Amino acid sequence: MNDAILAEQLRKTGNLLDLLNDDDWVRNADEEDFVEAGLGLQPYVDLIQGASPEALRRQRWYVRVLSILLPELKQWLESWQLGRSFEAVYMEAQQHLYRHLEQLTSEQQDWIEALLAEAEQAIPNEQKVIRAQATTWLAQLFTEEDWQAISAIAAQNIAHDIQHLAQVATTKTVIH
Amino acid sequence: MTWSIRLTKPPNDIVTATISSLTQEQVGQIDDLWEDILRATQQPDADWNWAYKLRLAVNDERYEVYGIELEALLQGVILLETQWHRSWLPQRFPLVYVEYLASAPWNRRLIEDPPYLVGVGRTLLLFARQRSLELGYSGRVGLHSLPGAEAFYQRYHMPDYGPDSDKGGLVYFEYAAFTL
Repeated sequence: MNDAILAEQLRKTGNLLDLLNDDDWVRNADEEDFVEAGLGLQPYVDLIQGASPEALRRQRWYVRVLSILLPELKQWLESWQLGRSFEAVYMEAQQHLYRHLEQLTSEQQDWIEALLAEAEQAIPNEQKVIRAQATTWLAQLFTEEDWQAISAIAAQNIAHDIQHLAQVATTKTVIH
Repeated sequence: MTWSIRLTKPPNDIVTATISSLTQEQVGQIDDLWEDILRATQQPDADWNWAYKLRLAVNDERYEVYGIELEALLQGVILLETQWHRSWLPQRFPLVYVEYLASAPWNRRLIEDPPYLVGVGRTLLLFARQRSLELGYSGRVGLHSLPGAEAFYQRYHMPDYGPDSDKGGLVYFEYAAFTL
């Protein structure tokens, strides 16, 4: 990242991030090992450097699976139009998903392996047959208890937001 | 505000990711996916929790916190302090100080070969310089590199000011203002 190139970009468009529209510049990035800055991050780097091969293998598996399932879960929940409680519901749903991924049945494991195999194929996501089943699979994965917990979080959030907004409105009225 | 950015996804793809203000959901991914999976025990270290500091910073006007996201996964994070820090140059210019810059574990060659994404750290650094320009600091950015990361900042021509005894001997790096 050379200041002469960055200054040239500033003269051209006024925004350094426009460099990311240049394929050559994007491809020119080096593979990075450690980039961490900030004293508080030393324990994080120590954790990565000290992780066992088994832990790293498990994380690689999670990343591959979640890079497919999380966008599907997010899109599904967004379609429910939950408004301000969306983030809390999504976070809670993620926790339930992580827990289920730790204890898959053999049938669920087979489906995940098929999903990962399909992901390796060079076809657009819209044409992926197994991926298209993801929402149905998630709906079957989550239990009645999961949905109750997720509903409770949604209800708590809505209640909290209503009380907060009412309080804000009251304060404004008093000031006027 | 959300910006579209492009990164290399090995072996040959260029993918479009986003960079935006960090959400509590993304901080949760740091706890669950970046760290907990790698721990031998389920007990987090009680002496530190950088994700906790990020949570606090989200609501503190001195700080700006941004995350890069691709496929609903948090790929990198940067915490900027924008009001109090000054340049190490004699003129003591105001600058953007990088409190934290971190990439997800799977984006480094030592862990994942090839890495999941290439260029996360460089993009966050570029973003910090852009924020410095927008805040009127002319592109000045300072940070303290962790020991294993110094080569990264040297590779990207960030001037090295040597070890800082106030920061446990970490080397301080600082980009100067752009000359246009």
